Amino acid sequence: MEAVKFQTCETCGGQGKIDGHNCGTCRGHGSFYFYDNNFVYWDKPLSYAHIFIREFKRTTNLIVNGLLIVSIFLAIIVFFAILNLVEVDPTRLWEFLNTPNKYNFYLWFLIMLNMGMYYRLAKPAMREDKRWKVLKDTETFTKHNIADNLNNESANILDKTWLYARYKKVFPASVWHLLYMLLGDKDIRVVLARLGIGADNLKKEIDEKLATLVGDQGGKKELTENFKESLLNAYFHMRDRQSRYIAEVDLLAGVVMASQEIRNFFYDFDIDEEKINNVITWVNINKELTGRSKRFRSRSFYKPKGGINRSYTAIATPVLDSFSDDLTMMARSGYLPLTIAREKEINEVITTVESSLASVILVGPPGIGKGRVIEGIANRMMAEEVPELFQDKRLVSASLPFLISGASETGKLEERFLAILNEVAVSGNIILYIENIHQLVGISSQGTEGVDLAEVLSSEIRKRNVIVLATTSHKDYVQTLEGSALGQALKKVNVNEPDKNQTIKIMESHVGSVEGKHKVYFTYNALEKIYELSDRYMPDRYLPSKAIDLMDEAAIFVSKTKRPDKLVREEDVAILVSQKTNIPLTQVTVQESAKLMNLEEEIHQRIVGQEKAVKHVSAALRRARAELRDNKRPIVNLLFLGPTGVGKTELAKTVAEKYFGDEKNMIRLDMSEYQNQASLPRLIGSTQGAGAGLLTEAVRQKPFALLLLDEIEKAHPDILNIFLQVMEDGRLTDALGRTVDFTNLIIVATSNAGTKFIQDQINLGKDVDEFQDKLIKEEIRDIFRPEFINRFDGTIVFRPLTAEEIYKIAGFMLKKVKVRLEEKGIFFEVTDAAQRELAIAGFDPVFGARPLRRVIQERVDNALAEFLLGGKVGRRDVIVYDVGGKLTIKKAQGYRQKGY
Amino acid sequence: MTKNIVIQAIKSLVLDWVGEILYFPIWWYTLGLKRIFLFVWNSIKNANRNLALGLMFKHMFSPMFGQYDKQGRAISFFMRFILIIFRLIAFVFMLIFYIIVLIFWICLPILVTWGLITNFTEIWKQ
Repeated sequence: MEAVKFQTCETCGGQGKIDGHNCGTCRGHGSFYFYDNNFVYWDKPLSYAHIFIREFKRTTNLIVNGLLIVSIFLAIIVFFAILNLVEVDPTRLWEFLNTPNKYNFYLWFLIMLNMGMYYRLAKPAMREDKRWKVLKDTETFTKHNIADNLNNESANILDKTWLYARYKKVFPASVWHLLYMLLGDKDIRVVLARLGIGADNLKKEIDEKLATLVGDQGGKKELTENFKESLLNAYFHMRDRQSRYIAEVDLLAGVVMASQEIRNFFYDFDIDEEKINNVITWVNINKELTGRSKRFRSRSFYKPKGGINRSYTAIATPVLDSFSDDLTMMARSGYLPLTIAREKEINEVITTVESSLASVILVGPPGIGKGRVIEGIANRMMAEEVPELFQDKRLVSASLPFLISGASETGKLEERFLAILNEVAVSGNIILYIENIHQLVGISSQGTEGVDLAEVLSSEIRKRNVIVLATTSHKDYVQTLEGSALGQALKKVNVNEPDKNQTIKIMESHVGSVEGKHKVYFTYNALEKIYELSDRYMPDRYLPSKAIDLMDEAAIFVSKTKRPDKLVREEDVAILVSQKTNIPLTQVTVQESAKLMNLEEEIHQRIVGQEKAVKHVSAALRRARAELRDNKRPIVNLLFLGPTGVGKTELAKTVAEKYFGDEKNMIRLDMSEYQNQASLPRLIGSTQGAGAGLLTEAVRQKPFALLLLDEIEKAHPDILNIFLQVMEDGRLTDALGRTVDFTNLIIVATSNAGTKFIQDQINLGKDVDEFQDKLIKEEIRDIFRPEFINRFDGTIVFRPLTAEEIYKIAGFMLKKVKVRLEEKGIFFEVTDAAQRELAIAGFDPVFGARPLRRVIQERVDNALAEFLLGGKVGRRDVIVYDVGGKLTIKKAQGYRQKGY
Repeated sequence: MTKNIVIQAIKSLVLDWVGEILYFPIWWYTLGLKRIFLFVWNSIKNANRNLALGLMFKHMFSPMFGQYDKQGRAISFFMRFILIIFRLIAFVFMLIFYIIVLIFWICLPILVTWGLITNFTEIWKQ
């Protein structure tokens, strides 16, 4: 909603008076807002005298109303006194009333006071009804004083605002004064609590800085223009939410809309106009639900209790009753929750059934709320707020498992089913609801081959003997119903995933029960975060059920913490989802940000050399953590090019550890196993026999991981095409038609392509930067097509290792040996010369660091094994490895550190 | 100053009350009457809904409880006839009650005025 502004009257220049008379254009108000023939203005005198008079009147009126209530009791007492006088004899009573006496006078007088009380209470309600009607009229010119629309609390707040300005001696009364007073209001505190901030701190801040905030505006004892604009916006906010009074929330919305300063003030607390409006809507949803629930309760009184309808045409349905639940009856008892944000689907089902007496099938994935649509219809049928076709009818949910279980004899199942259908047809007041109707297809009892229950039902539907509402999932609809007789008899209504607004509305309608159950309190930001994260990180489930489940989990999570406030914040939801998915989602803390800034050093604790590769990968991870990446693609796609044994796989493992918390969060595919086209089904599954694919299934199970494609150059080009799509769109549909989400993966492909070229260039003394372009554009052009190379966010060339780097790697590997030995209580040391000797023995320019592992295994591990098995070493002894594989022992002496 | 405000407040309050008292009888026979009329009308509608009279008339000739044979139809017709008679009687009683309420509303101010005038002189008598 756009902010609106008062228009200053041009005729009188905003003075309201010309030569002592009221200006004809603005009718003496100075400024106004004109639209659709409605003249909106603000006119309420605010001064100490006026406020005193109003307060005086309010109090006196309260006293008068109290006295009038007392008059009711007095009337009753006098009447009983008269009855007592005439000894409860009707003829004597009549005579008594007709004979003039003082008791009669008292009685009549009290009756008159009672009438007066009714008049005083009923009159204001009626005046408001009338004003509301006038507001909608765009034809007739009408004047609206905003002040007349204030509810009692709002009027009170405005008075208090002026008194506050007087008390603080800061005039004119501005939006800051108003905000200060609003922050003390009960309703506004609820709104702010939902936004996750306490009102007291804000109040304190405004109170301390009031004079500075308001600034020098002349000091006149009136309202600022901005204040009046806030009231105008509050008025339109009231209209927008179809209310009759300007409530406190409207004033808050008005202040925020009209004043940029207040918006900035709230923005510092991460609250914007939209959020405030959404929370106000939330408060209203609850009010609406309460209203609807009350209406349904009062309506339920009219619905007959048994199975018989009000026109007595129905029959008793004992067979159906034993296999079903009566949903309208449950609605009558108030067991069915109210459906929200599904009005479209409910209306679609009702009109489809009504238009052609058709039966309807709701198709949508599990957890999307198909049952809720049906419950919504049941509630409306109970309240009879439905077209005639649905009126005076029952919605009965037949349970297929109940029906089938125990029907073991030949023909028993058919007998039951036909009996039910017969009861429904004869009774004529039943709409049958069958959940998961696809389960009917292919079901028949033993010994009766051929006709199954689905066909029996479809023929009854066709004959218009029964109206069925059914549900099924997309998959089952395609697999079993589409094209079958039953599928054709049912009209399909799709139930789609609700959008953000609808989901949040649905969550808001649930929040009360969750809060009550776990004794927590949700902020609006938490709900928004729940929607966002469940939508993004729970790809195998559907909204709104996944959001509601996550909401429940978040409530349990917070209720178990030892925090005093039990407020579910955005951050709690992020922590919870992080724990479930292993993806870092919480706000970056100071420690973490330091860690991220020094990611290169962290990685270098595992990877020796390859500075460029490490830098590139670190930058990609930082981008992902700062949420600057594209959410529709994988986190990052990287191609590692280089000779074998230089750390490509090691770097991939390190990335998995740093980003996903553990190097086990890695899906590794050896692409040399996919050298021909026939291996494609192994990757993405097939409908014939093979079932789910290795890749798609692994990603479905572990959607938050690093996908390592080893030796990608060996894969068949058709298989590379699959990855082309994955890297571009972030999703892949497997052979079973399931879409698998790849947007939370880091994809790393490694390749030895161009190794010879790299080695030659390095031997020529060139730097990687100098030949990388040539390598990609020329040398590997025959192996990877340009569009494939283009899909990678970075192609990283690993150079062969130098002798010095091998020396360092030898150090890393020996450290691992040391750790293994320490587990046995033995310490291990390697002399520098020995480490260098091992590095030289393990160095191979062609095979990188691979031979080193073998050398360490042969020389160090073998020697150690013999040493240990020989029983020469005790706990806390230190084994020293020296040049030529010589092992010596330093025996532990005393109990000083490390046995020295 | 303060004294002035108090006088002003009392003046304004008295003026309000005078207006309110003068408007009282007018309201009683205009908006108040409309209000009570709507109440009576809605109550009658609810009574009709409760007794399902329309439905009974509509289904006068359809059999009760799915008894589609001749005897069933005959008995049903007879039963429905009796039901309708009883419900009609109940409905007429409710109708009369609500009309009395309406008449009472209209007569009440006159009655009160009459009662006050005739008994006024008796107040000071012992």
